[in-house]
Amino acid sequence: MWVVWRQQRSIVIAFALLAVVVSVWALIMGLHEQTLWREYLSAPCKGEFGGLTTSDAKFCEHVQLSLYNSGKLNEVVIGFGMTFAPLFGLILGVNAVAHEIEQKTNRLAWTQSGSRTRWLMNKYVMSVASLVVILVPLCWLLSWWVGAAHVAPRIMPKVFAISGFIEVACGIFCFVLAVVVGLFVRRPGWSLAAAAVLFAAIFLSFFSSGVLLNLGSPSVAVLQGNGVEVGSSSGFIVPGGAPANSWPFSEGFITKTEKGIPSTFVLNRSASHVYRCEDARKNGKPAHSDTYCLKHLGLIDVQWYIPDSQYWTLQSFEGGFYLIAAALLVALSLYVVRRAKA
Amino acid sequence: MAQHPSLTFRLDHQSGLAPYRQLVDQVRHAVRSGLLRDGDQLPSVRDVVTQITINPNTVHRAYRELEHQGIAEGRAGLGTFITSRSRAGSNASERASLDQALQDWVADARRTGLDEETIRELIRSALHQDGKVRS
Amino acid sequence: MIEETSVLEAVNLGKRYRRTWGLQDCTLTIPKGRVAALVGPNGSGKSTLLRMAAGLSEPSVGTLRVLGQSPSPGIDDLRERVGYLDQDRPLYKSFRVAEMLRFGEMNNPTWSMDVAKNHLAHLDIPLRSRVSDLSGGQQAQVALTLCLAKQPELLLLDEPASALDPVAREDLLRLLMRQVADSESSVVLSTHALSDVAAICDYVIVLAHARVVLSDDTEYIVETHRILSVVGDDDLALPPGITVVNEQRSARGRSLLVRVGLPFNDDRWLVDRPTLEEIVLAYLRAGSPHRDGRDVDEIESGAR
Repeated sequence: MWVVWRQQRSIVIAFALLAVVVSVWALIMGLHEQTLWREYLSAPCKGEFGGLTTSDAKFCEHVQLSLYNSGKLNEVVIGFGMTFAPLFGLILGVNAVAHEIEQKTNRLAWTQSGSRTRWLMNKYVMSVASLVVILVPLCWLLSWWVGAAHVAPRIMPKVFAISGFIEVACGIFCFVLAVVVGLFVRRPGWSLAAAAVLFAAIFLSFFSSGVLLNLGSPSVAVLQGNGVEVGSSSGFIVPGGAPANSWPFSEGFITKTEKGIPSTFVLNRSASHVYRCEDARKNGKPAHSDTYCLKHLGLIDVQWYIPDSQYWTLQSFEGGFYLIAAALLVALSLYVVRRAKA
Repeated sequence: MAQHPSLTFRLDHQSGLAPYRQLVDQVRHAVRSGLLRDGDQLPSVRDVVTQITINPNTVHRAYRELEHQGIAEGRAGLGTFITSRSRAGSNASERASLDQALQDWVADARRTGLDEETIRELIRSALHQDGKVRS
Repeated sequence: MIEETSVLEAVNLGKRYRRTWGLQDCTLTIPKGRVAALVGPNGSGKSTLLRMAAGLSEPSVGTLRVLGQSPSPGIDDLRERVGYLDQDRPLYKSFRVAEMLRFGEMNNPTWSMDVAKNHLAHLDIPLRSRVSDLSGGQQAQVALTLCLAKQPELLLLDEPASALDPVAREDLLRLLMRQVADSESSVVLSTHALSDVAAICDYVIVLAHARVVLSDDTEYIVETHRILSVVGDDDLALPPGITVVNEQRSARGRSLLVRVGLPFNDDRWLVDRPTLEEIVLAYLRAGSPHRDGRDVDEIESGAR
């Protein structure tokens, strides 16, 4: 066990330092943005600045500008959050097996008194421990930051990926993936590339709407008029009927009795009906009101969204997927290692 | 009684002589020239192996041969020592009778028509056989 | 068999790599207590055999027994009793020597730290140095020490003396012999240059083209082989009981390295005793197993 630590020591320390540096920065940034939001949402701004005195308006404008500027830095933290754990896991994994095989030290290790199984299990235990020790605090901090900096509702894909415990599961999965790929490819450079590509494919399929949407249970909300909800508790201004903190992923016109989510084709067709009605002119002025058009066509304007209450369910789905996949890969690797060419 | 006299072995790989024979000869030479005296200890197998690159079994073999020739004797747990047993007298008479027996044997071999080369070959084979049995 | 008297037993052993055979028809028995040399050119199957014996790969064909057991990678018992040194002498480059020893200690219940430290002290290799700072010869010493300190019954060493300068080679071989003197381990080492290790080997196995062509005690080999030469006469018949290993013809005459089964008497042949290296070379040149002396290769004419 000590041997594994000694072999991965420099990598773990490097990533740990990086994590600390970014965490401190995110902490400072988060606290700053938290203060800004508080100013923005309380009197006199209250989340908008229509109808304010000049000096107040100037103040609110200033606050809003600061928020905008710091918002740009948010992207950096999100980018970091999405790449840190996978990179850490992949590099650790490639170092654990592919590098040893390339250096031929596996011939040294596999002719000591212990078995290959024990050799591999030691690597798993020690490396997963290192991953957990560094990633859990980091994830906890990033989850806090997502809330404090009001980046987006935590269930929205971009920040969903970096909050909760998904990145811990991701890191572990990437480590195991790199180990298994290394057993077959046997060269660290190629193993890293192949494992990275495989992981990216899996991650992106979660990240893009497809998979999670099907796992979550979407709800429907009817849009009221222009529907601007102002001053909600979390400060998120959501245009439409979906509640604050939710992830509105689609919008369209449906009949009142519609149960599921119609296809894009159907939605486009309904939309074109409504717009044709709304665009009709009589003597240069709109012929019908919006409400008339909807009533006439028998349609309602709705948003589909995933509510915040689904957050932990979806976290468990994605996190669980990574952990179960990792477990299966571990089993595969233990089978393969006993037969591997030395 | 000297513990480790200044006897350093040397091996010549180019000579046709087997390594163990070379060691035996070097010890005999040392005894004859007085470098080694009765009761002196021969270097331990481990020490020889540290001095020169040689198989320990070869050293064992050489020491056993020396014991067999009566030049040295092994004392369990202590090492191998040049023996103080004087067999000079008995050696001479044994040699004489062996010599005579050999001369008679050669005469017999000649009489049955064996030539010199064959006789040499027979003697060599017999020595080899004996050597195999001994080790 | 009440007690194992052989450290390695192979019967029809073969190993296939895709389209070529790394080793084939290998049948040999290496007795206990020997320092055995596996001699052959590169690609003759030495590393293949040693790796199978060390449990790093599986045979394709045939059986292999090491210390009476199968060395399959799936079976663990043998690894405690067998030490293996790979041709590349792998070490963890970023480790210090002391850390390499700790690695050995943690992985081997029979490890003796005293043996390890004694060997390294004798060689003046400081424990605090990093492996990557050591010379090639010193790294080889450290790698060998890792094998020796677990005090195995059998040592399998793949080309331990190659790519070392003469001084480093001497030091390494002496280190090995000290261990053999102390612990009575058996050694099987491979080499492509017999002269490097001839001083310490008492058993020789010659491999050519992935096959065993000779396998016996050094002394027996030397005793039973002769060089027979004759000037001019091409048709001179060989005496009975002689098996030809290799023959060289030149304008001046014929020279044959032979194995002698019976004492013979033929004045027309000039008889010389070859050195061990000459014998091994003859077998390597001949290239195929000599059971009945049928295969004679006229590879070169002219002197060697």
